[in-house]
Amino acid sequence: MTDPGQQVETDVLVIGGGIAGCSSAMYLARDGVPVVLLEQHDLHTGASGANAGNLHQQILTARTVPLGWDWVGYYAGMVRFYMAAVGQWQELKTELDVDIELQVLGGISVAENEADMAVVARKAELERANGGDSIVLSRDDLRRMAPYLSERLAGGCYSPGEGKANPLLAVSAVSRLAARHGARFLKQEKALGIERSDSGYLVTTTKRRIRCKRIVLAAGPGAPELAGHLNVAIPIRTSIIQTAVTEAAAPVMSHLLYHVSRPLTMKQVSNGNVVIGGGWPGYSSPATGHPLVRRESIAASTWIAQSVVPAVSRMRLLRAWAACTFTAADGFPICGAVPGEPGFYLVISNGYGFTMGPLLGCIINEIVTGRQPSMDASRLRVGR
Amino acid sequence: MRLFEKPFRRMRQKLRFSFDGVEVEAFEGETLAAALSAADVRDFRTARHGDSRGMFCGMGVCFECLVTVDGRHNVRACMEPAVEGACVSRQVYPGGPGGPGGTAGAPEIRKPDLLIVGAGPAGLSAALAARDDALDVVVIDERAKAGGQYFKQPNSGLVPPDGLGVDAQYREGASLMRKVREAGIEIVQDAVVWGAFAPLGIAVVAGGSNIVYEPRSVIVATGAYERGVPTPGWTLPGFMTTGAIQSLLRSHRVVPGRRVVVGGNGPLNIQVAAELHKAGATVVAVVEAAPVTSPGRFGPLLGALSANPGLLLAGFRYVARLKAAGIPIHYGHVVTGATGDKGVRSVSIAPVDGDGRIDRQRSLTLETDIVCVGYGFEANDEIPELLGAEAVIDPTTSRRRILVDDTYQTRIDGLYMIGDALGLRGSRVALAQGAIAGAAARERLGGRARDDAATRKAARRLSRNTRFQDRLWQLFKAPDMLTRLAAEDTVVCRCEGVSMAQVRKEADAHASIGNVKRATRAGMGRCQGRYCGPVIERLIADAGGYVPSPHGVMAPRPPIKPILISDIAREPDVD
Repeated sequence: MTDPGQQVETDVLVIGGGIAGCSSAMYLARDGVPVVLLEQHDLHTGASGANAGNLHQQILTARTVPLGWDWVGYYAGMVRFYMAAVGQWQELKTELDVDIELQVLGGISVAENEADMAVVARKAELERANGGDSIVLSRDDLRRMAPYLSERLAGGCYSPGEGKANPLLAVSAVSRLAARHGARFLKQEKALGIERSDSGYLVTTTKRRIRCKRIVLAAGPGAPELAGHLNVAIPIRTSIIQTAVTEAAAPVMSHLLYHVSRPLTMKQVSNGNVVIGGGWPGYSSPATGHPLVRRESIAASTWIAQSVVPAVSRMRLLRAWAACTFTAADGFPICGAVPGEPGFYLVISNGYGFTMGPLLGCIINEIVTGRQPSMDASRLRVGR
Repeated sequence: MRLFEKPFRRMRQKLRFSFDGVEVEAFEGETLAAALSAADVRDFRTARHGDSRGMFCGMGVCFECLVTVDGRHNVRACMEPAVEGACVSRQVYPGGPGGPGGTAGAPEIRKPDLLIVGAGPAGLSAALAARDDALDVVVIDERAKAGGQYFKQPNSGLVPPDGLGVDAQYREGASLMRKVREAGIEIVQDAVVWGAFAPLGIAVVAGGSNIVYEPRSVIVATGAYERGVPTPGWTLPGFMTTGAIQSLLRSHRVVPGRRVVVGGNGPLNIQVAAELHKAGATVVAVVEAAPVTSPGRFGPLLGALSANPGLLLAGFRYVARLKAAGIPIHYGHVVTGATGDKGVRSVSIAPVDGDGRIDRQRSLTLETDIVCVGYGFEANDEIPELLGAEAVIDPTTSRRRILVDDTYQTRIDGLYMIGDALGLRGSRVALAQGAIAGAAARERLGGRARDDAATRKAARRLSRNTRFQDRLWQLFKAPDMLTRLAAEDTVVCRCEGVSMAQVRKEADAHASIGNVKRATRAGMGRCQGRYCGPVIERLIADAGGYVPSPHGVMAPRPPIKPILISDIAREPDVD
């Protein structure tokens, strides 16, 4: 730990200690760039500490089709990134000091009726056109592949590369790897202001002033306020969503599951608990401002979960929790240099932040260190 | 061992069920845990790492006594009634999905004027004080019978004629409950509160019905549960809380073994030891951490005597009864561990000094089947916490304390909190707080104005008994053993089987409780961190780097208690 008040100077200052910030710091440090990471609380206490640990490659149609197929058609461009992102996790996994319980057992979007099957056909085609490997499943295919599913279901869409990891272990393992490569961490220290200086930036925190040549802002929902100090606008919307988990039970399901027309993501983790999500809204406590869960969202999400896997209705719910999530209007992350602010970079993920974290860290490292990104990141540009 | 004393002798209906294929005799009204305990069965299940577990808290909090009943997994033996012909078996971790299945449908929305949560001394007293013809007052309670821990009544199969009972504590409780019923106040039993949602929504599952109360005012009287102090061997069947053994005795007239060692800190342990002896159990020893008989404790003793002579003399009578029976009371000693294979066979005890240092050179070993230990209580303060009531960290206990005004209203308008949930002060204080908060809520809701004489009377009772409690706890002041007894391989998180060494490794000066939880899974099991949470918070605080926050990461989340999905799942509205 660095003493409060002590001057800190570095080349790159990463602001935000979630999976995006820690991955960025890790890749930069691994390439020999002097990096300091600043976190206002403890690491991974925002969305990175509250997410379900899903590794997605499919489009969550229940939340996106209502925005129109034009929107979905453009957003399908993300599939290319998701395919690469799971590969990035698999590569990164081998360098971590714990088993992060990463498993790629495939994911299924389940369809309830013919209307859902029409959505499946269209979405699978879009996913394949963007580098995905989605396969349409008939009723019989579904039964064979996942006999634990409700017999009512009409079919689905299978994506073999999807999976899960334990986010509780994974995100802190990435931060430890960053530290091993030389990144330094300043925790419980909040950035209050950012100003330009002769040699880069001067960041005022609750404990000191930090001089740095460059800044990677990875502060999630806190990013717009910080970027505002440099008059940079970040067009993201924030919202509170919630997740629920059951008690541990003997293995019931193996796939990552979605429902085509009802908001649901669900899986059973290695420990035996079933995690139920799908972007259900929470609320902000009128008294404390803390994110809290809504009763209606618990009731609805668990209902959909048990309608897909009937055994779930016989399990006990153990916890539900809410966290702040954030996304740009087109659903793409923001990752790149800020035009007109040399040395100022943004890494703001999207709704699949856990999946995308390491890939975004890898891309921003390539951009910051002046290399050609290993995949075309023009759709992630700031101010696109 | 089952007791057949008056007036309960002739009121029992016998029934039979099987446990792992062996027939077990039970009586109507008994829980599975009571019937199994009476049959000397202690080992109820196999935990995560293959070790045996049995009843621990005895009040539905710890989820240690899980069994399988007629194919339903994860059933709490301490809460489940024994029924004729049931096929019960030991459960092997983790068990399959357990409930009956199905979905709940739309919750019934009820809007009483005042909802009181908890039918112990505080809640019942508040209900009586709040009674008003113009107000709809409802009391909800998690247990099958009202009374809470203190006024716990005999089970339904023992049904003594009203007002009867084997002691004054039963009679006082029965009389209070009768007054509440005669006042026309509804008490809903078996009502589990699983969520609290701003502004004042209380989500409940009561006997399979899904109910949401949206009252104008809420009085939280949810009491406390016993603090878990990790001790070598504390997960062995036969090692339980003092409250668990007291519940078996007072609700079911059952003693879960032949020989009992009672340990921990506080006057409750001495009372329970005396009751166990009276009931016919062999009390091997009482082990009390505080040096109650040391000369320095004479002042508090006199103070307690002057504040409430009746209560202190009752305490003397318990001690005298134990002495007369030749039962040793080891003051200034702690239970340092228990050993046995699939259950407790012996315990070790040793002297402890004022700083919590244990003198293991002077350790004694005692043969026993049962050891019950009580080291004080943790508040059930989830409801005000979830509703966002302002709280502080109490500097003397390092625990969260919800802030209330002099009518016991929290900083949230219309939300009151009373009784042991607010900090352990016993039944007399709870009764007085109930009277004050009930009257204040009544007036606030447009009922009769507060009666100055009644308020003054309650305030006097409150101040006298608060003084008594303060002196009593000075008399019983003991070193805090929370993190001092566990060995490195002692389980700290009972649900997930996480050891002290594993927790210590993560709980350093730079840790947050959330990250200890994430790294070790401690606190993520069925008891929702109720037993290991305080231990981890203390370890981090002792490591020096942690400023406890009243809304820390161990903060409660819905469901407050694990709840079957079939009880709450509801098809979303299609818009």
